[in-house]
Amino acid sequence: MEQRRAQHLYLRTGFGESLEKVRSALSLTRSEVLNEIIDASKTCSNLLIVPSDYYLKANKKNASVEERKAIGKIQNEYNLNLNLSWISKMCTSEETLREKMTLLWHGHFACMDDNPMHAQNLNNTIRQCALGKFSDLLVAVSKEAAMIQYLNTRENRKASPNENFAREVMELFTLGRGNYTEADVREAARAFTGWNYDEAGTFKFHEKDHDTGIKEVFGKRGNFTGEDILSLILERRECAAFIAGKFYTWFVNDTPNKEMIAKISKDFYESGYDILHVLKKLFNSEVFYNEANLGVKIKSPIELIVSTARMLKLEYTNPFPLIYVQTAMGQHLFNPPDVAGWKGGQNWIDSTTLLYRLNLADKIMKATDVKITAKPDNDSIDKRDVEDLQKMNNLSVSFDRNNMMDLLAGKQYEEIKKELCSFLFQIKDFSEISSSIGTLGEKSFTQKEFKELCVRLMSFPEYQML
Amino acid sequence: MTSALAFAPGFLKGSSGKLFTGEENKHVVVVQLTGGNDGLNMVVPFRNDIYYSLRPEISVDSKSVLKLNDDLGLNPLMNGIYTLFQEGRGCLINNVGYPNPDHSHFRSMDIWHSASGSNNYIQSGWLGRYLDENCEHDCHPYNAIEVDDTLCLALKGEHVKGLSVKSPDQLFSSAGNKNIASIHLADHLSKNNNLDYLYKTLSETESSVGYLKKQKDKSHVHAEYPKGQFATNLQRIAQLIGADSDIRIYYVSLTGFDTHVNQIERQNKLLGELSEGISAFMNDLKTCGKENEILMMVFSEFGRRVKQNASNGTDHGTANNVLLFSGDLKQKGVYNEPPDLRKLDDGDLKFTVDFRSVYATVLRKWLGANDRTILGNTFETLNFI
Repeated sequence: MEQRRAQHLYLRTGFGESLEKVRSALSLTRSEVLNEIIDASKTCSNLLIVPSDYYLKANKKNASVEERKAIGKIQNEYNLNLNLSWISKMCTSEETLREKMTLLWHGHFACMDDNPMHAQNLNNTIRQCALGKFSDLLVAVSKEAAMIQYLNTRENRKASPNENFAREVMELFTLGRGNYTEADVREAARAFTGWNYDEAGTFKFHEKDHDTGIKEVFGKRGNFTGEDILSLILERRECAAFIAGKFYTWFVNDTPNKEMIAKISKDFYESGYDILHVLKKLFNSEVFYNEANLGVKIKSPIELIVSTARMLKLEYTNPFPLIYVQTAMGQHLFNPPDVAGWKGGQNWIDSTTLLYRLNLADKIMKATDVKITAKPDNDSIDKRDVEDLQKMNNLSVSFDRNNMMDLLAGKQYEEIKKELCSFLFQIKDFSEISSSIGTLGEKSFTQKEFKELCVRLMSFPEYQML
Repeated sequence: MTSALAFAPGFLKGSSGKLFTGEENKHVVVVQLTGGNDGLNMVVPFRNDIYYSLRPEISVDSKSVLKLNDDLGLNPLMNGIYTLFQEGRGCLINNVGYPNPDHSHFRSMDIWHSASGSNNYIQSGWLGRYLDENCEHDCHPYNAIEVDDTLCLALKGEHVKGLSVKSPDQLFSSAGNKNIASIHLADHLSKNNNLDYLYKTLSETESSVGYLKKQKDKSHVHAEYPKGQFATNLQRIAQLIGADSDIRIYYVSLTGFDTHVNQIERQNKLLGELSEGISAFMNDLKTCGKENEILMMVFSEFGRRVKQNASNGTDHGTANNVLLFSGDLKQKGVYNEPPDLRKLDDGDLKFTVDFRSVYATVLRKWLGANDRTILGNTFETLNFI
């Protein structure tokens, strides 16, 4: 397949690949490369940062003030490492489609829990179900301790219903606004009463809190349970349409294509919400590879951080500053702005974030100070810890695995520049950029010049696109 | 105004050389309380039995409130704001909301940001459209500044977007990078809408950075502020106002008001931060003779249910109060009737003042702008200014 379309496939289904890997795809067909990508994601490896007996050590009941502080510190460290280990996984894993889908669902089922065990469990559940049936994913996510905590399902009891989860599950996770009524929300909330979890973070149904009365949802009456409500939601085609729209805008183009979304939606519904089934069709479609859909999406901050590492085969050897890099660009993993997740597209961009993004390649390649005054965007992070962390704001990066110099050896500067432009940019015509950079003159082309050229190119807005 | 023109030659192209129509030297500072502030525990109906019976665990003791009149009193942690009210620099509007209120944070915030009704969707913000409407010739992101990491919908117009600046130094050094400074910006036009958007934003950013640099050099510290990000943000705004900046809109948020569980401790901490920050800000501006030039409006996307929930918190509600501060208020203190807890709408407060009436008043009477065009409809104006 053609180089730009191979890069497109790698960038959209994952986080981009090295020049070496892109070149090896050139002798294969589109479907061969796609099959490789899908096969590589058949396995699933979880994040294993927080031990399963965490809750025994982190029990704040009967703990002294000092002990509580210590527990808080451990909690923060786990949360930090959880974030960084996921970034690292995205940078190195072969299960790229699975990780990309985990990232999609992480924003879709936006949730925040200070408890790192809950956060890890939810993330792994999403990862396990990421490519299976959406129905399984929805039920599993709804029963995760993190979600029950975040949307107050735990406080939703027969005597005092709390509508938070019932509302958000319809508005943001399945149907979208306009496809349910206020009455549906209130009645569904009654059905979710009794949903709870134990100290190990395992789902528990508390029968005494459950409202066993008749509820009326979507015009149907019955003594519904929470599971029944999720089934009633999934029976509605609006749910398939809502998720299909998400797939299209996430993988193809920010501007919805109604006809294509209708096709995906129908397929999705009729296949019993089979995620991989519809994705495979989408990635094999002509629409996916259409010129109008190449290089037209703005990289999310995580896509920018991860694809830079994957494409250049570099490793973040001191990854701690990446927490601040995420915050500054507006996408801090495990800390979505709200339950609606990150809006994406042009919403990533304003004057401040754009400047930060354009500067990022320079900071990464030169391993300089990432200079951010981050405010804690999560109540659990102690201000003092943040200050400690800010001292560690020098990114350090290893280029040991980068073999682009070897791949481009023997070529003239102009040719190298052209090769780099076609590799780093997904736009069709980069002649203006290429000519604005000028020539190297008589100087020899060393590792240093190579890096400088990369930084120069990666500072163009075109590098922000995928 | 003149000083601003010197740094922005683009403005001189027009006949009058004036950037904005309407009132000169009038600025609006919007304070957004994110998450749905519980207005009933901020401004307490301390003689209302219904309030106390519906909130057995989380009501504010009538003896401790800071009385504004016979019915309403401020939360005892708001001494700073209470003093501003006593000095005639504060105004409270009760029961502000809109028809068919939405209980979703995001949708309700969108409604407040875009000034839409609850049944229509507008993709631009009311202050962004003020920029659109009032730029006679050319407009720049810096005319509306949000002190934050990201820019909210309220400041996004159809043609002009405001600028979000949390740390000016970080902004200046980013813009100064030689690789970026050398990018050719003129007339970038491709068929790629998102890419063009990046180029357009970059070009606007560069001119704004230049302007803010000059203003920063002119500013100086006037007063002491309490610790914390919110007060620091207000201090930055005061410095820019002190330097006679051509910035019409300032926007700042305080977050964490979504108090479904154990509300009291959390909300009290936030109300204290709010009160101390605003009081320091207003006093700072008074000292430098600017307090008649600014109007501050404090709002939240909705109030909360009157009845507490079982977790010692409150769920999403509807109508809420809006606070206004200025040295130049026409009506001071409590503007209208207190919330009527006997006449609830399915457990929620009923609105009596449309939030767009507040916006229309700010736009027309304070900024001298065409509120009808900006809001797309006519709303009755109020008499607080």
